[in-house]
Amino acid sequence: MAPTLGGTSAPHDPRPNDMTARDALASPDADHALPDGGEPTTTTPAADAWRRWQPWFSTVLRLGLAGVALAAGLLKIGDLPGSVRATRAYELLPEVLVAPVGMALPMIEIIIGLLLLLGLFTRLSALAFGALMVAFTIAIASAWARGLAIDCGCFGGGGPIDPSETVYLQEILRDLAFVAGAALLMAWPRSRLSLDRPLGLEPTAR
Amino acid sequence: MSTAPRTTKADRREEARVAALRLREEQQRAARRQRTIVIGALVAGLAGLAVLVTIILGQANASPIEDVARPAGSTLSGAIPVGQEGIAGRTDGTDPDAVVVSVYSDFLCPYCALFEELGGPVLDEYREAGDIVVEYHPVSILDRESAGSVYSTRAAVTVAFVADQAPEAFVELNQLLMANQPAEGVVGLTDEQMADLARQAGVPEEVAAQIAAGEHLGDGTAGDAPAFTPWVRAATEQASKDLGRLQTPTILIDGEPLDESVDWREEGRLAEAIDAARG
Repeated sequence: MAPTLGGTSAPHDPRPNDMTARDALASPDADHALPDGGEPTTTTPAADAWRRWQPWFSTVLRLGLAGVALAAGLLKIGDLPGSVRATRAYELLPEVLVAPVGMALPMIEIIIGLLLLLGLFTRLSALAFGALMVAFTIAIASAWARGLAIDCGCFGGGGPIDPSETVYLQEILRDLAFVAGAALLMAWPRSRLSLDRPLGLEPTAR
Repeated sequence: MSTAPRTTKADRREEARVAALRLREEQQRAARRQRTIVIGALVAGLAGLAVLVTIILGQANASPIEDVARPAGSTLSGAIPVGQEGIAGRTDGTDPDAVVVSVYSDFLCPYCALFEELGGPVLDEYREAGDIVVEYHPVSILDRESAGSVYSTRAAVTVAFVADQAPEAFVELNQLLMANQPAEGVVGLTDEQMADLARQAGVPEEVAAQIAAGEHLGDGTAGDAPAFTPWVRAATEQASKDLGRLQTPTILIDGEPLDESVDWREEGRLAEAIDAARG
Protein backbone atom coordinates (compact mmCIF):
# COMPACT_ATOMS: atom_id res chain seq x y z
CA MET A 1 0.00 0.00 0.00
CA ALA A 2 1.26 3.46 -0.78
CA PRO A 3 2.30 5.65 2.11
CA THR A 4 0.44 8.76 3.02
CA LEU A 5 2.05 11.59 1.20
CA GLY A 6 2.15 14.94 2.91
CA GLY A 7 3.56 13.19 5.91
CA THR A 8 0.97 14.14 8.52
CA SER A 9 0.06 10.71 9.71
CA ALA A 10 2.79 8.19 9.20
CA PRO A 11 6.20 9.68 8.74
CA HIS A 12 7.94 6.36 9.31
CA ASP A 13 6.15 4.40 6.64
CA PRO A 14 8.56 2.68 4.31
CA ARG A 15 8.93 4.82 1.27
CA PRO A 16 8.04 3.34 -2.07
CA ASN A 17 10.93 2.46 -4.30
CA ASP A 18 8.85 3.22 -7.30
CA MET A 19 10.31 6.49 -8.51
CA THR A 20 7.79 6.76 -11.33
CA ALA A 21 4.89 7.07 -8.92
CA ARG A 22 6.68 9.56 -6.77
CA ASP A 23 7.73 11.69 -9.67
CA ALA A 24 4.23 11.61 -11.09
CA LEU A 25 2.79 12.84 -7.84
CA ALA A 26 5.50 15.40 -7.46
CA SER A 27 5.00 15.37 -3.74
CA PRO A 28 5.22 19.07 -2.91
CA ASP A 29 7.69 18.76 -0.11
CA ALA A 30 8.75 15.21 0.29
CA ASP A 31 11.78 16.15 2.32
CA HIS A 32 10.18 18.91 4.39
CA ALA A 33 7.30 16.67 5.27
CA LEU A 34 9.52 14.23 7.07
CA PRO A 35 11.36 16.24 9.66
CA ASP A 36 12.53 13.30 11.67
CA GLY A 37 13.07 10.34 9.48
CA GLY A 38 12.46 9.32 5.94
CA GLU A 39 15.23 9.54 3.45
CA PRO A 40 18.15 11.76 4.23
CA THR A 41 18.02 13.92 1.12
CA THR A 42 20.65 16.02 2.80
CA THR A 43 22.81 18.46 0.98
CA THR A 44 24.97 19.83 3.79
CA PRO A 45 25.30 19.07 7.51
CA ALA A 46 24.08 22.59 8.29
CA ALA A 47 20.87 22.09 6.34
CA ASP A 48 20.43 18.79 8.08
CA ALA A 49 20.84 20.33 11.49
CA TRP A 50 18.42 23.11 10.60
CA ARG A 51 15.82 20.57 9.44
CA ARG A 52 16.25 18.78 12.71
CA TRP A 53 16.14 21.79 15.04
CA GLN A 54 13.75 24.11 13.18
CA PRO A 55 10.61 22.71 14.90
CA TRP A 56 12.19 23.36 18.30
CA PHE A 57 13.37 26.79 17.27
CA SER A 58 9.81 27.58 16.14
CA THR A 59 8.42 26.17 19.38
CA VAL A 60 10.56 28.49 21.51
CA LEU A 61 9.67 31.43 19.29
CA ARG A 62 5.98 30.59 19.40
CA LEU A 63 5.87 30.26 23.19
CA GLY A 64 7.88 33.46 23.60
CA LEU A 65 5.48 35.47 21.45
CA ALA A 66 2.55 33.82 23.26
CA GLY A 67 3.98 35.06 26.55
CA VAL A 68 4.33 38.59 25.18
CA ALA A 69 0.77 38.70 23.85
CA LEU A 70 -0.73 37.14 26.98
CA ALA A 71 1.18 39.47 29.30
CA ALA A 72 0.13 42.51 27.27
CA GLY A 73 -3.52 41.44 27.27
CA LEU A 74 -3.81 40.22 30.86
CA LEU A 75 -2.14 43.30 32.32
CA LYS A 76 -4.69 45.50 30.56
CA ILE A 77 -7.94 43.54 30.73
CA GLY A 78 -8.42 44.27 34.43
CA ASP A 79 -8.47 48.00 33.73
CA LEU A 80 -10.53 48.53 30.60
CA PRO A 81 -11.18 52.23 31.35
CA GLY A 82 -7.41 52.64 31.58
CA SER A 83 -6.98 50.92 28.23
CA VAL A 84 -9.55 53.29 26.73
CA ARG A 85 -7.70 56.30 28.18
CA ALA A 86 -4.37 55.00 26.84
CA THR A 87 -5.95 54.55 23.40
CA ARG A 88 -7.41 58.04 23.53
CA ALA A 89 -4.05 59.53 24.51
CA TYR A 90 -2.64 58.61 21.07
CA GLU A 91 -5.16 61.04 19.54
CA LEU A 92 -5.38 58.87 16.41
CA LEU A 93 -8.91 57.46 16.49
CA PRO A 94 -12.21 59.31 16.31
CA GLU A 95 -13.91 59.43 19.71
CA VAL A 96 -16.66 56.93 18.73
CA LEU A 97 -14.00 54.28 18.07
CA VAL A 98 -11.80 55.00 21.09
CA ALA A 99 -13.89 53.08 23.63
CA PRO A 100 -14.62 49.95 21.53
CA VAL A 101 -11.01 49.69 20.32
CA GLY A 102 -9.57 50.34 23.78
CA MET A 103 -11.80 47.67 25.28
CA ALA A 104 -11.30 45.12 22.48
CA LEU A 105 -7.49 45.29 22.25
CA PRO A 106 -6.67 43.49 25.53
CA MET A 107 -9.01 40.61 24.65
CA ILE A 108 -7.62 40.41 21.10
CA GLU A 109 -4.10 40.17 22.55
CA ILE A 110 -5.22 37.42 24.93
CA ILE A 111 -6.82 35.45 22.08
CA ILE A 112 -3.71 35.73 19.90
CA GLY A 113 -1.63 34.74 22.92
CA LEU A 114 -3.78 31.66 23.56
CA LEU A 115 -3.66 30.60 19.90
CA LEU A 116 0.14 30.91 19.91
CA LEU A 117 0.38 29.07 23.22
CA LEU A 118 -1.72 26.20 21.86
CA GLY A 119 -0.04 26.30 18.47
CA LEU A 120 -3.40 26.57 16.74
CA PHE A 121 -3.30 28.19 13.29
CA THR A 122 0.28 29.15 14.07
CA ARG A 123 1.03 30.96 10.82
CA LEU A 124 -2.19 32.97 10.90
CA SER A 125 -1.76 33.78 14.59
CA ALA A 126 1.80 34.93 13.95
CA LEU A 127 0.47 37.10 11.13
CA ALA A 128 -2.16 38.63 13.44
CA PHE A 129 0.44 39.21 16.14
CA GLY A 130 2.83 40.82 13.67
CA ALA A 131 0.11 43.00 12.18
CA LEU A 132 -0.89 44.22 15.65
CA MET A 133 2.74 45.03 16.46
CA VAL A 134 3.17 46.91 13.16
CA ALA A 135 0.05 48.94 13.99
CA PHE A 136 1.38 49.68 17.49
CA THR A 137 4.77 50.66 16.10
CA ILE A 138 3.14 53.10 13.69
CA ALA A 139 1.01 54.54 16.50
CA ILE A 140 4.03 55.01 18.77
CA ALA A 141 6.10 56.53 15.97
CA SER A 142 3.29 58.91 15.15
CA ALA A 143 2.94 59.94 18.81
CA TRP A 144 6.68 60.57 18.84
CA ALA A 145 6.58 62.55 15.60
CA ARG A 146 3.74 64.69 16.90
CA GLY A 147 5.65 65.39 20.09
CA LEU A 148 3.05 63.82 22.39
CA ALA A 149 4.43 62.87 25.77
CA ILE A 150 2.78 59.54 26.44
CA ASP A 151 3.63 56.10 27.73
CA CYS A 152 2.76 53.53 25.05
CA GLY A 153 0.54 51.61 27.46
CA CYS A 154 1.74 48.44 25.80
CA PHE A 155 1.72 46.42 29.00
CA GLY A 156 -0.88 48.33 30.96
CA GLY A 157 -0.68 51.87 32.21
CA GLY A 158 -0.28 54.30 29.38
CA GLY A 159 -1.37 57.85 28.94
CA PRO A 160 0.50 61.10 29.36
CA ILE A 161 3.81 61.23 31.17
CA ASP A 162 6.52 63.75 31.71
CA PRO A 163 8.25 64.49 28.37
CA SER A 164 11.59 63.51 29.92
CA GLU A 165 10.25 60.04 30.66
CA THR A 166 9.26 59.07 27.13
CA VAL A 167 11.08 56.00 25.82
CA TYR A 168 9.78 55.95 22.27
CA LEU A 169 12.92 54.53 20.71
CA GLN A 170 13.04 51.58 23.12
CA GLU A 171 9.30 50.96 22.63
CA ILE A 172 9.67 51.00 18.85
CA LEU A 173 12.78 48.78 18.83
CA ARG A 174 11.05 46.32 21.14
CA ASP A 175 7.97 46.18 18.92
CA LEU A 176 10.13 45.74 15.82
CA ALA A 177 11.85 42.80 17.50
CA PHE A 178 8.41 41.27 18.07
CA VAL A 179 7.54 41.89 14.39
CA ALA A 180 10.73 40.09 13.37
CA GLY A 181 9.84 37.18 15.66
CA ALA A 182 6.40 36.99 14.12
CA ALA A 183 7.89 37.00 10.61
CA LEU A 184 10.24 34.12 11.47
CA LEU A 185 7.37 32.13 12.92
CA MET A 186 5.31 32.78 9.79
CA ALA A 187 8.18 31.48 7.67
CA TRP A 188 8.61 28.33 9.78
CA PRO A 189 5.28 27.70 11.52
CA ARG A 190 5.89 24.00 12.17
CA SER A 191 6.64 23.45 15.81
CA ARG A 192 6.49 20.88 18.57
CA LEU A 193 3.87 20.83 21.33
CA SER A 194 1.43 22.36 18.91
CA LEU A 195 -2.20 21.60 18.14
CA ASP A 196 -1.67 22.22 14.44
CA ARG A 197 0.13 18.90 14.11
CA PRO A 198 -2.44 16.53 15.70
CA LEU A 199 -5.30 18.43 14.07
CA GLY A 200 -3.62 18.22 10.69
CA LEU A 201 -3.60 22.00 10.25
CA GLU A 202 0.07 22.31 9.36
CA PRO A 203 0.64 23.78 5.94
CA THR A 204 1.68 21.05 3.52
CA ALA A 205 4.00 23.19 1.49
CA ARG A 206 5.92 26.32 1.70
CA MET B 1 4.99 9.87 -17.19
CA SER B 2 4.71 6.77 -19.21
CA THR B 3 2.63 7.45 -22.26
CA ALA B 4 4.62 5.34 -24.61
CA PRO B 5 3.16 4.66 -28.02
CA ARG B 6 2.45 1.06 -27.10
CA THR B 7 0.95 0.56 -23.68
CA THR B 8 1.90 -2.64 -22.02
CA LYS B 9 -0.08 -4.26 -19.22
CA ALA B 10 2.48 -3.05 -16.73
CA ASP B 11 2.11 0.48 -18.01
CA ARG B 12 -1.65 0.38 -17.63
CA ARG B 13 -1.37 -0.95 -14.12
CA GLU B 14 1.08 1.79 -13.34
CA GLU B 15 -1.33 4.43 -14.67
CA ALA B 16 -4.18 3.08 -12.58
CA ARG B 17 -1.96 3.11 -9.55
CA VAL B 18 -0.99 6.73 -10.11
CA ALA B 19 -4.62 7.70 -10.66
CA ALA B 20 -5.67 5.96 -7.46
CA LEU B 21 -2.93 7.67 -5.51
CA ARG B 22 -3.89 11.00 -6.92
CA LEU B 23 -7.56 10.51 -6.07
CA ARG B 24 -6.65 9.48 -2.57
CA GLU B 25 -4.45 12.50 -2.18
CA GLU B 26 -7.23 14.77 -3.42
CA GLN B 27 -9.73 13.27 -0.99
CA GLN B 28 -7.32 13.76 1.85
CA ARG B 29 -6.75 17.33 0.81
CA ALA B 30 -10.50 17.97 0.68
CA ALA B 31 -10.99 16.41 4.09
CA ARG B 32 -8.18 18.50 5.47
CA ARG B 33 -9.65 21.65 3.97
CA GLN B 34 -13.02 20.80 5.47
CA ARG B 35 -11.49 20.25 8.89
CA THR B 36 -9.52 23.50 8.68
CA ILE B 37 -12.69 25.40 7.81
CA VAL B 38 -14.67 23.87 10.68
CA ILE B 39 -11.97 24.44 13.29
CA GLY B 40 -11.25 27.90 11.90
CA ALA B 41 -14.90 28.90 12.03
CA LEU B 42 -15.15 27.61 15.58
CA VAL B 43 -12.08 29.53 16.73
CA ALA B 44 -13.11 32.70 14.90
CA GLY B 45 -16.62 32.47 16.35
CA LEU B 46 -15.35 32.02 19.91
CA ALA B 47 -12.83 34.83 19.49
CA GLY B 48 -15.46 37.19 18.09
CA LEU B 49 -17.80 36.33 20.95
CA ALA B 50 -15.10 36.94 23.57
CA VAL B 51 -14.27 40.35 22.09
CA LEU B 52 -17.95 41.27 21.83
CA VAL B 53 -18.67 40.25 25.44
CA THR B 54 -15.65 42.27 26.64
CA ILE B 55 -16.88 45.38 24.85
CA ILE B 56 -20.46 44.93 26.09
CA LEU B 57 -19.38 44.39 29.70
CA GLY B 58 -16.95 47.29 29.42
CA GLN B 59 -19.64 49.60 28.07
CA ALA B 60 -22.08 48.46 30.78
CA ASN B 61 -19.51 49.52 33.36
CA ALA B 62 -18.97 52.88 31.71
CA SER B 63 -22.17 54.85 32.23
CA PRO B 64 -21.86 58.45 31.13
CA ILE B 65 -21.79 61.02 33.91
CA GLU B 66 -25.34 62.16 33.07
CA ASP B 67 -26.64 58.72 34.07
CA VAL B 68 -24.99 58.20 37.44
CA ALA B 69 -25.77 59.47 40.94
CA ARG B 70 -23.68 62.61 41.41
CA PRO B 71 -22.54 64.37 44.59
CA ALA B 72 -24.78 67.36 45.34
CA GLY B 73 -23.60 70.47 43.54
CA SER B 74 -21.12 68.70 41.27
CA THR B 75 -20.93 69.63 37.60
CA LEU B 76 -21.42 67.46 34.53
CA SER B 77 -17.71 67.76 33.81
CA GLY B 78 -17.12 65.81 37.02
CA ALA B 79 -16.08 68.80 39.15
CA ILE B 80 -16.93 69.57 42.74
CA PRO B 81 -16.89 73.39 42.79
CA VAL B 82 -16.03 75.29 45.96
CA GLY B 83 -16.60 79.01 46.41
CA GLN B 84 -15.96 81.64 49.03
CA GLU B 85 -17.75 79.83 51.87
CA GLY B 86 -15.55 76.76 51.47
CA ILE B 87 -18.55 74.45 51.09
CA ALA B 88 -18.47 71.74 48.43
CA GLY B 89 -20.98 72.30 45.64
CA ARG B 90 -21.71 75.90 46.64
CA THR B 91 -20.36 78.94 44.90
CA ASP B 92 -22.74 81.50 46.46
CA GLY B 93 -21.15 84.79 47.32
CA THR B 94 -18.46 84.46 44.69
CA ASP B 95 -18.34 86.99 41.90
CA PRO B 96 -20.10 85.38 38.90
CA ASP B 97 -17.19 86.50 36.75
CA ALA B 98 -14.68 84.91 39.08
CA VAL B 99 -11.85 82.95 37.49
CA VAL B 100 -12.39 79.19 37.66
CA VAL B 101 -9.35 77.13 38.59
CA SER B 102 -9.82 73.42 37.90
CA VAL B 103 -7.55 70.88 39.56
CA TYR B 104 -7.52 67.27 38.32
CA SER B 105 -5.88 65.00 40.82
CA ASP B 106 -5.53 61.40 41.85
CA PHE B 107 -5.04 60.79 45.57
CA LEU B 108 -2.18 58.41 44.80
CA CYS B 109 -0.26 60.79 42.56
CA PRO B 110 2.81 62.27 44.28
CA TYR B 111 2.82 65.47 42.24
CA CYS B 112 -0.84 65.98 43.14
CA ALA B 113 0.09 65.90 46.82
CA LEU B 114 2.90 68.34 46.10
CA PHE B 115 0.49 70.64 44.30
CA GLU B 116 -1.94 70.47 47.21
CA GLU B 117 0.89 71.33 49.60
CA LEU B 118 2.31 74.22 47.58
CA GLY B 119 -0.63 75.43 45.49
CA GLY B 120 -3.49 74.57 47.84
CA PRO B 121 -2.92 77.48 50.22
CA VAL B 122 -2.64 79.89 47.27
CA LEU B 123 -5.95 78.70 45.87
CA ASP B 124 -7.60 78.84 49.32
CA GLU B 125 -6.51 82.45 49.73
CA TYR B 126 -7.92 83.60 46.37
CA ARG B 127 -11.06 81.55 46.89
CA GLU B 128 -11.73 82.93 50.37
CA ALA B 129 -11.31 86.43 48.99
CA GLY B 130 -14.07 85.59 46.49
CA ASP B 131 -11.74 85.99 43.52
CA ILE B 132 -11.80 82.45 42.21
CA VAL B 133 -13.89 79.28 42.25
CA VAL B 134 -11.89 76.11 42.71
CA GLU B 135 -13.22 73.09 40.85
CA TYR B 136 -11.93 69.86 42.35
CA HIS B 137 -11.80 66.96 39.91
CA PRO B 138 -11.05 63.82 41.89
CA VAL B 139 -10.11 61.19 39.30
CA SER B 140 -8.92 57.62 39.59
CA ILE B 141 -6.17 56.53 37.22
CA LEU B 142 -3.61 54.91 39.53
CA ASP B 143 -5.59 52.05 41.09
CA ARG B 144 -3.00 49.58 39.76
CA GLU B 145 -0.38 51.25 41.97
CA SER B 146 -2.13 50.27 45.20
CA ALA B 147 -1.42 46.54 45.47
CA GLY B 148 -4.97 45.58 44.58
CA SER B 149 -6.71 47.85 47.09
CA VAL B 150 -7.95 50.29 44.39
CA TYR B 151 -6.88 53.13 46.65
CA SER B 152 -7.31 55.86 44.03
CA THR B 153 -10.95 54.94 43.56
CA ARG B 154 -11.66 54.48 47.28
CA ALA B 155 -10.15 57.86 48.15
CA ALA B 156 -11.98 59.66 45.32
CA VAL B 157 -15.27 58.00 46.30
CA THR B 158 -14.70 59.05 49.90
CA VAL B 159 -14.27 62.74 49.03
CA ALA B 160 -17.29 62.55 46.72
CA PHE B 161 -19.32 61.02 49.56
CA VAL B 162 -18.20 63.75 51.96
CA ALA B 163 -18.93 66.45 49.35
CA ASP B 164 -22.46 65.10 49.26
CA GLN B 165 -23.02 64.31 52.94
CA ALA B 166 -20.81 66.78 54.81
CA PRO B 167 -19.89 69.45 52.22
CA GLU B 168 -18.32 71.84 54.73
CA ALA B 169 -15.63 69.24 55.53
CA PHE B 170 -14.72 68.56 51.88
CA VAL B 171 -11.83 70.99 51.40
CA GLU B 172 -10.20 69.95 54.65
CA LEU B 173 -10.54 66.23 53.92
CA ASN B 174 -9.09 66.73 50.45
CA GLN B 175 -6.08 68.42 52.02
CA LEU B 176 -5.71 65.73 54.73
CA LEU B 177 -5.86 62.85 52.23
CA MET B 178 -3.13 64.49 50.14
CA ALA B 179 -1.00 65.18 53.22
CA ASN B 180 -1.34 61.54 54.29
CA GLN B 181 -0.80 60.10 50.84
CA PRO B 182 0.43 56.51 50.87
CA ALA B 183 3.40 55.49 48.77
CA GLU B 184 2.73 54.01 45.35
CA GLY B 185 2.64 50.24 45.23
CA VAL B 186 1.30 49.62 48.73
CA VAL B 187 -2.23 48.99 49.96
CA GLY B 188 -2.62 52.55 51.23
CA LEU B 189 -5.03 53.86 53.81
CA THR B 190 -7.78 51.54 55.00
CA ASP B 191 -11.40 52.70 55.07
CA GLU B 192 -11.06 53.14 58.85
CA GLN B 193 -8.01 55.35 58.42
CA MET B 194 -9.85 57.47 55.85
CA ALA B 195 -12.79 57.70 58.28
CA ASP B 196 -10.41 58.99 60.95
CA LEU B 197 -9.16 61.68 58.58
CA ALA B 198 -12.79 62.52 57.81
CA ARG B 199 -13.54 62.94 61.53
CA GLN B 200 -10.47 65.15 61.79
CA ALA B 201 -11.88 67.25 58.95
CA GLY B 202 -15.13 67.66 60.87
CA VAL B 203 -17.32 65.05 59.23
CA PRO B 204 -20.26 64.06 61.51
CA GLU B 205 -19.89 60.71 63.25
CA GLU B 206 -22.64 58.86 61.37
CA VAL B 207 -21.07 59.79 58.02
CA ALA B 208 -17.60 58.83 59.26
CA ALA B 209 -18.99 55.50 60.48
CA GLN B 210 -20.35 54.78 57.01
CA ILE B 211 -16.91 55.50 55.55
CA ALA B 212 -15.23 53.26 58.12
CA ALA B 213 -17.62 50.44 57.20
CA GLY B 214 -17.02 50.97 53.50
CA GLU B 215 -20.76 51.50 52.95
CA HIS B 216 -20.08 54.40 50.60
CA LEU B 217 -18.16 52.15 48.22
CA GLY B 218 -19.92 49.71 45.93
CA ASP B 219 -22.38 50.57 43.22
CA GLY B 220 -25.22 51.94 45.35
CA THR B 221 -27.34 48.80 45.18
CA ALA B 222 -26.52 47.69 48.72
CA GLY B 223 -26.82 49.67 51.94
CA ASP B 224 -28.36 53.05 52.53
CA ALA B 225 -25.34 55.19 51.83
CA PRO B 226 -25.26 56.79 48.40
CA ALA B 227 -22.36 55.21 46.52
CA PHE B 228 -20.30 57.27 44.16
CA THR B 229 -18.05 54.61 42.64
CA PRO B 230 -19.88 54.84 39.29
CA TRP B 231 -19.54 58.62 39.52
CA VAL B 232 -15.77 58.45 40.02
CA ARG B 233 -15.52 56.12 37.04
CA ALA B 234 -17.71 58.38 34.90
CA ALA B 235 -15.97 61.57 36.07
CA THR B 236 -12.57 60.05 35.22
CA GLU B 237 -13.76 59.09 31.74
CA GLN B 238 -15.29 62.56 31.28
CA ALA B 239 -12.00 64.15 32.33
CA SER B 240 -10.15 61.96 29.83
CA LYS B 241 -12.54 63.06 27.08
CA ASP B 242 -12.37 66.74 28.03
CA LEU B 243 -8.58 66.85 28.33
CA GLY B 244 -7.76 64.35 25.56
CA ARG B 245 -4.76 63.21 27.52
CA LEU B 246 -5.66 62.95 31.19
CA GLN B 247 -2.70 63.32 33.47
CA THR B 248 -2.52 64.39 37.06
CA PRO B 249 -2.21 66.98 38.31
CA THR B 250 -3.73 69.05 35.53
CA ILE B 251 -4.52 72.65 36.36
CA LEU B 252 -6.85 74.68 34.18
CA ILE B 253 -7.43 78.37 34.59
CA ASP B 254 -10.77 79.33 33.04
CA GLY B 255 -10.57 76.11 31.04
CA GLU B 256 -7.08 76.75 29.69
CA PRO B 257 -4.28 74.42 30.76
CA LEU B 258 -1.65 76.14 32.82
CA ASP B 259 1.14 77.00 30.41
CA GLU B 260 3.98 74.49 30.44
CA SER B 261 6.42 77.27 31.19
CA VAL B 262 4.63 77.98 34.49
CA ASP B 263 6.31 75.93 37.20
CA TRP B 264 3.83 76.01 40.07
CA ARG B 265 6.51 74.64 42.37
CA GLU B 266 8.16 78.05 42.32
CA GLU B 267 6.64 80.42 44.80
CA GLY B 268 4.41 83.06 43.27
CA ARG B 269 4.08 81.42 39.82
CA LEU B 270 0.58 80.08 40.35
CA ALA B 271 -0.57 83.42 41.79
CA GLU B 272 0.89 85.23 38.77
CA ALA B 273 -0.98 82.95 36.39
CA ILE B 274 -4.25 83.52 38.26
CA ASP B 275 -3.67 87.29 38.35
CA ALA B 276 -3.02 87.24 34.62
CA ALA B 277 -6.33 85.46 34.03
CA ARG B 278 -8.21 87.93 36.25
CA GLY B 279 -6.93 90.72 34.04
